[in-house]
Amino acid sequence: MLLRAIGRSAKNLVSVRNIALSRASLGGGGHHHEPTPVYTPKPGSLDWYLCGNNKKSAHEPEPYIPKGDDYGSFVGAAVFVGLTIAAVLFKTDAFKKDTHVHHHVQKHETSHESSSHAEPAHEPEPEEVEAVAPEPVASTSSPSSEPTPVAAQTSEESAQPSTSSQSEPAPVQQETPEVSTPTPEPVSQSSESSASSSSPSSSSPSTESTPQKSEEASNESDEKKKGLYCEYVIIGSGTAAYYASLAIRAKQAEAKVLMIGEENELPYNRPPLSKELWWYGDENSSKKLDYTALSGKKRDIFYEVEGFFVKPEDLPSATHGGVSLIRGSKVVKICEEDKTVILEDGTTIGFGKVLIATGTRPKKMDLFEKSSNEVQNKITYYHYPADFKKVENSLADSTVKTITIIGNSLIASELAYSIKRKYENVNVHQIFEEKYNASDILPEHLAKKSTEAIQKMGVNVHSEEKIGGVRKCCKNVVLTMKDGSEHRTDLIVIADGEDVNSELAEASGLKINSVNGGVTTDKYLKVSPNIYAAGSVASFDDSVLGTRRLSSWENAQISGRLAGENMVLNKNEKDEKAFWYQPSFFTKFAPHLHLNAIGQIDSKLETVAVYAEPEKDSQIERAVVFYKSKNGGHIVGVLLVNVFGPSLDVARRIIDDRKNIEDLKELAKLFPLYEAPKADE
Amino acid sequence: MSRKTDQVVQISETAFWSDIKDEYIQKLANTDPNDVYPPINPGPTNPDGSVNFECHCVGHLVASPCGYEFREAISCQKESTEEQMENGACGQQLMAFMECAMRTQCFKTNDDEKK
Repeated sequence: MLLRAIGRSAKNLVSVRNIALSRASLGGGGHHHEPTPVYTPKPGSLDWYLCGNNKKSAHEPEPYIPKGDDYGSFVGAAVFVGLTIAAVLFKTDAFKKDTHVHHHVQKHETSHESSSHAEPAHEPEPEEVEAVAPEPVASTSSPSSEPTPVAAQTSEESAQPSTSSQSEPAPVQQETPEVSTPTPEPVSQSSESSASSSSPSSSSPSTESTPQKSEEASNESDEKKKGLYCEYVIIGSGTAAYYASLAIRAKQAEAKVLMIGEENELPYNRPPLSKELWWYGDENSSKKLDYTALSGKKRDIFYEVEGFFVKPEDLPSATHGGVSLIRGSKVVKICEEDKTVILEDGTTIGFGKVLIATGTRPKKMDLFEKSSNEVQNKITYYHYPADFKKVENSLADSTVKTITIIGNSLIASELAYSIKRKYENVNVHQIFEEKYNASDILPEHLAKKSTEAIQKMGVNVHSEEKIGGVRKCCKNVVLTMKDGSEHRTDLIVIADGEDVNSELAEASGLKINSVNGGVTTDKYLKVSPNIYAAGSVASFDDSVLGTRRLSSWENAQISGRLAGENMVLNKNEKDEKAFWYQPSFFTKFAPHLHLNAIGQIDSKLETVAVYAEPEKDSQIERAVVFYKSKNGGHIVGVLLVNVFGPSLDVARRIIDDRKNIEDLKELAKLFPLYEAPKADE
Repeated sequence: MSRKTDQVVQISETAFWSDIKDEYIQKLANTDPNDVYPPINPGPTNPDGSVNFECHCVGHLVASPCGYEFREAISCQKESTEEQMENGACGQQLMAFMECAMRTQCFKTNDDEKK
């Protein structure tokens, strides 16, 4: 009997169950949100007066004059030889390698809920992973290519093992980006005053003196920016913005792209802030924002180095175009009619097409906003690299021995897990009003199990608790619960929801989606003929799942690219492409719990979870959870618990096909809940 | 509206490998994992054999300030034979790309890590 079963499975292995058998990688992705009616902006909020008939005048081209320095460093013969070798390498590998890789690529991306990330399948970290699918995938999030011993990392595709990284142009001495970047972080601690909180920093103490500098800097460049025009303007400098810039330049070789970001950082990959930087970082991680990927390679969170971005003043004269970045600058209005954007300092920049990719920011909690400055110094709304630095530094130097994380979101839960994982001796508390961690996405039984798992590793989870007050006491802060009990802590980290940075869209008279938040786009991610939106600020029309707004890393990547492509296609009057590829996300907030999900992952939907039988000697449980649509019951979302392989693509197929399947146990056979039996007979 | 339910079921290994009865599911099971859903990444080669610069694999190279030089170099390389390459074909293009990369310092280098 048993033999027959084995024999049969071996047979299946060969011929029948291709899908369930191949365990390649996994991905990560998107997440929830339902369709919603559209809403029209309130007229009062529009300052139309800002939009004049500014004439855009192209910047005068300035001829490029190479400076001695530019060349000096590599004049030597040795370098020349190096170059030649590199050239040969390049020739050989650049494309060939990725030929077979590219297929993989898209499956690797993972991400997690708010803005997460990810490329490669996240592979389980060594300790816990043994039992899990042993694929040595790269680590989750970062984009940088591994295998290249040399230079040019292909960052985006980095996840893939080979890509074109071989093309590195030779061993160049590289200045560290920071050097040349005056990075003013204009926000001071108690800031609030700054109109929008999307600025990075409420947490970086190091920046006190900088605001002034930045002002000066921007004044200086004001003149130059006046009258600036750029064919493609991208508002925002996050993941969606970055990938949009790549897509534009890929479609139109000599395109000029100007990215205007409010943050002072170079575009970076956010998911590692709550994951890899904690898991795989070292003592320098808080400075360099890097970590050692499972492959053994160092990666930092930045997509590109400073030199990748053409200086804005050089862009007009750049014969072959490029991507420019203005940092620390806020766009306050888009004037659709005269095709200009207006910066906070009054600078006007003309555009051909503009992309809104302003993302989200952490939601502020009234209770804490009203508290004293002393208390506020002990609070971090976790979202920016500066927040990672602040929390990591205070744990590393032991000034914080008890940390309290507020919220049950994926980010909050990941942080609780990640901090406990790195700092075993720190008291980690997580407080939220809901019953379980991640209860908005996980069905109750799974949310419960996850909560128990994170508790078991030592995180003190205080669920169904409401915070009534907060005060400073001695060296730390005291939270008063609604039931009167008190909770003393050294640092409070808040990750409890997000606000959409949609003020710009509102001020510009664009349609805001009243249910999802965010600016309303069509299925092409178009807001109006010359305005597009992508990433977590876009509430777009998904022809399969309805109107959605997603805050995952992979959604930022996918929608960023799509918007970028459509911005170019639009110009050529060709057909634009509709949104079609469902983003996935990855999260992990307890040992042995790798979650990958795709589609509409909303715990308000009916779900069916199909579990494999528990394995002996293994703490790893495998399951596939199907989320059923409210009308019709077809599958709209799939959550994978410790299940990898091509499952995300299978899920994409199933979601697209909108099949109504009675027996979901049958459907579960398409997902590798069990290892393929060895066909060694 | 009835209260929503969250079902939990278990499938044994034997049941998992037993025959699939549903036609739709069986069809998917027979599909090569690579074909089950179209990739979002177009891959490095166009149907006509030319280089597809929209491949995500070269995304940041074509977007870089040296994207033009990169395209020239790769296109040349693609059109040349092994032998021509050895005899110096495309040398100029490759050098232009290298020169650009050094001048602009537009790519990450391992030096970063050492510092």
